[in-house]
Amino acid sequence: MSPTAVSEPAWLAGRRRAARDTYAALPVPSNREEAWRYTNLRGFDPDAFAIEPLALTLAGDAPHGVTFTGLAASIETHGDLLERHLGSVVSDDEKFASANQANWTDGVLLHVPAGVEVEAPLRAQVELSGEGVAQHYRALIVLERGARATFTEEFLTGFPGYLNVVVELVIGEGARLEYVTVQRNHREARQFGTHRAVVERDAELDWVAIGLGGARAKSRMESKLAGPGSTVKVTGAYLLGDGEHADYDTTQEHAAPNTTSDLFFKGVLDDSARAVWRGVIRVDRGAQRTDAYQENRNLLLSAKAHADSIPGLEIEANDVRCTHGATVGQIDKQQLFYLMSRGMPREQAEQLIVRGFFQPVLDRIGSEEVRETLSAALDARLA
Amino acid sequence: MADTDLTPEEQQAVAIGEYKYGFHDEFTPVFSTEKGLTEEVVRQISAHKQEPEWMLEFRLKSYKHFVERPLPRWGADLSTIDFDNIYYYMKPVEEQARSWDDLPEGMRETWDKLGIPEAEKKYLAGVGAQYESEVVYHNLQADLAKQGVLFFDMDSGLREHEDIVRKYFGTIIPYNDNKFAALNSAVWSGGSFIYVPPGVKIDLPLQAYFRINAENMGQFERTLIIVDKGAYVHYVEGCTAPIYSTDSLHSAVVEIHVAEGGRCRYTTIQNWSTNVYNLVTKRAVAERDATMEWVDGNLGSQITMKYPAVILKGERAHGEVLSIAFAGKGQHQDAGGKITHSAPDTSSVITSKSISKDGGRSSYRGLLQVDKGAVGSKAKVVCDALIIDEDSRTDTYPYINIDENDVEIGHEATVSKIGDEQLFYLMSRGLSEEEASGMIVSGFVEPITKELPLEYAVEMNRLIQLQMEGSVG
Repeated sequence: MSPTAVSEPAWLAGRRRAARDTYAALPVPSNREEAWRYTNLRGFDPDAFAIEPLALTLAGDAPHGVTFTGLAASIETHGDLLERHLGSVVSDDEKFASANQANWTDGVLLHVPAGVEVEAPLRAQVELSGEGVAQHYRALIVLERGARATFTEEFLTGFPGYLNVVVELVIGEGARLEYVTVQRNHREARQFGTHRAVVERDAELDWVAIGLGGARAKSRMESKLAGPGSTVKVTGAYLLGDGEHADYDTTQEHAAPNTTSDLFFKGVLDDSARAVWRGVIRVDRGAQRTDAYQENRNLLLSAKAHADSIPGLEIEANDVRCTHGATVGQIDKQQLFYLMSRGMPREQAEQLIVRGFFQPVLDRIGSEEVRETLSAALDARLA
Repeated sequence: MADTDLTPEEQQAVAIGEYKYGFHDEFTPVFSTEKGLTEEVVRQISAHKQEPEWMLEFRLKSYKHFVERPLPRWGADLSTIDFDNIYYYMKPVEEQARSWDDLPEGMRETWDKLGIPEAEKKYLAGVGAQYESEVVYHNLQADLAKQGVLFFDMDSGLREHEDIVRKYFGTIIPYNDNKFAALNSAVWSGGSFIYVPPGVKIDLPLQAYFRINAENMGQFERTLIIVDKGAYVHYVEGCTAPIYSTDSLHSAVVEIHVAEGGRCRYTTIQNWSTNVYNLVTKRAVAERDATMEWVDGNLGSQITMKYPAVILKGERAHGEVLSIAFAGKGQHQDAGGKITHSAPDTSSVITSKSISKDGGRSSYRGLLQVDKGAVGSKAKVVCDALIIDEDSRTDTYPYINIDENDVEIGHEATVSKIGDEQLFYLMSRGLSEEEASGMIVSGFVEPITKELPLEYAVEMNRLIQLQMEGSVG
């Protein structure tokens, strides 16, 4: 079942083989596993989908010295870089991650050399090429010491299908990455993925995840604050409608002292939408003076909507400040009454309140372009 | 503190802030089953207690479920429990004593050390003290009896009020609820049975002291409290157990039914010695306009897994869990609370405070469930953890499961260390670092201690001061 039979270097062929064995040995996750407790895969057979080449579009100007290219094409040109980093951030020991390692057809390589700052955002867009098709996308983003870049990826599936995503972010000493990942999938599409970052000393990651639809989506989003003084900000926003289900599994791992992480997820659920957020803050032994925060707020617009919110703390250092919060609520009747008493129709008033609910999320997004994209997507979704 | 009765080693243990009630009396039980658990042991227990047939059947099906049910795969590590090396039933004396003077000498001394008679002199309404598996001393004061309040040990409750017991027993916590509830259902002995008739409000707390005494003695008390319409009771249990080298198992089941407009508060201060596995199932059902409050303090034991639960079954019912955990050296406190909102306009608050020290681990694990149709429910969960040193650990796992949109749910948690500024302030006022730390910790747990009866609050603060000794540097 390898769609990438063309002569690959031995190291890559070997890794694909090993991943294929791991994949074969692992069962499709069931609700009995803690991580999959709220996302049911019954009736979903990943092997029933035909793996097709990725429909990938890259956009944006990469200055001289910066590599921004398709991953498949880079095997030949950047073999050493790939061999060193591919699979170093996301391991293959999980069903979907091993499938990706075994089967990825294309994706993104972004490499920014030391000290180089890329001003304009670099963009990747992935689409499903047809009905009942599986696509495996893999991205490797490497920022060397002091580099800066903004990378945006968007998953747009116009068909029911299955998208498998693995993204590895390597953020070197003092580097800064803005990373935006958007799901705007078909109502019957499925997306399973692992996004993981390793953030070195004094480096910064500003991560934005947007979920705007899909039958089943589960994203593991993990950041490891590996170097002292590193900072991670994760912002999530999701807006789901009838029959849609999104599951966010986030980890903030503080592995070094003086590190800061701040995670904020907000979601609005309509009709029979369902959202799961499970977040863990892990503070390893010796990671003193950690400052970690996580918060999840859900707004339910319908009686059929459902949100599971599972924050978690695992702390093995004492000089820390870790806080989390979670709320679930509906549209405030007083706010609604106020707006309607001013003559605003109910529907419009509700939209305004939902926009207001999302505003703090938009305010956290640094890049104006990203903010506007999200804002437009929200308007389109709410209309 | 009555240090003078302790051996030099025990005195040292006290001095370094380890286990306080680590003394042990010699006594010989009148009846005991063999070690380990078999169907025959279950039959023996039932036969010895001359129980009705339905209870024997209940025990047997529970035993079957216990054997089939695997150990939980989450929470603390329970794989080291050796179920074959435990005595499941022992009877210390032939008859229930009516007054202190009838008690065996050794037991009375133990209780004197724990301070029960003074406490009783002050204001105890009734005392049922569990020494091994039977309640040997039970004093129900006359005015309670006059009001129709029933306060028995569970065995006597079953004998004398079989109809009430049969109606509620095992209905709130079914025999197959979890492995340890099944174990308790198979071998239970002792515990309290309380019935408070409609409209009766008992002003003074009812208390029972529990102790595990014999080595490898499991203690499986079973408590059933029924608070009828508009009635009120505050039940207090305190646990102490002597130190032994091999592990003991404590696995209780507590079922509480609070009828319309009634209120029940159940306070536990658990201070088992640090080799006890404390695996307890506690659940209450609150009917319309009823209030259930659990105040749960976990200071002792090696491993505790305990999540007092309230099912808010009737409209406007209210549930509260106040939980405090202190995990010292070698301890894992996996505690928390569970609230299920099953009716409209119900409300609940869970407040958890935990302290980890000397390599101890405290975990908050909770579930907040709002069923479909429970419109207008309000729930709030607040967890605060304090970590004293860098060897210790704390976890927070607050599960929230909402099936209704017309609700207000909030959760927040913080983890912190003792603030340098707070410490500096107190020390600049002339307090030593140790005193200052102790004071800050007492302040941290104050929202819980202020809910305790005075003598318990004093005791709790003293225990925490003791635990905090030698903890800075």
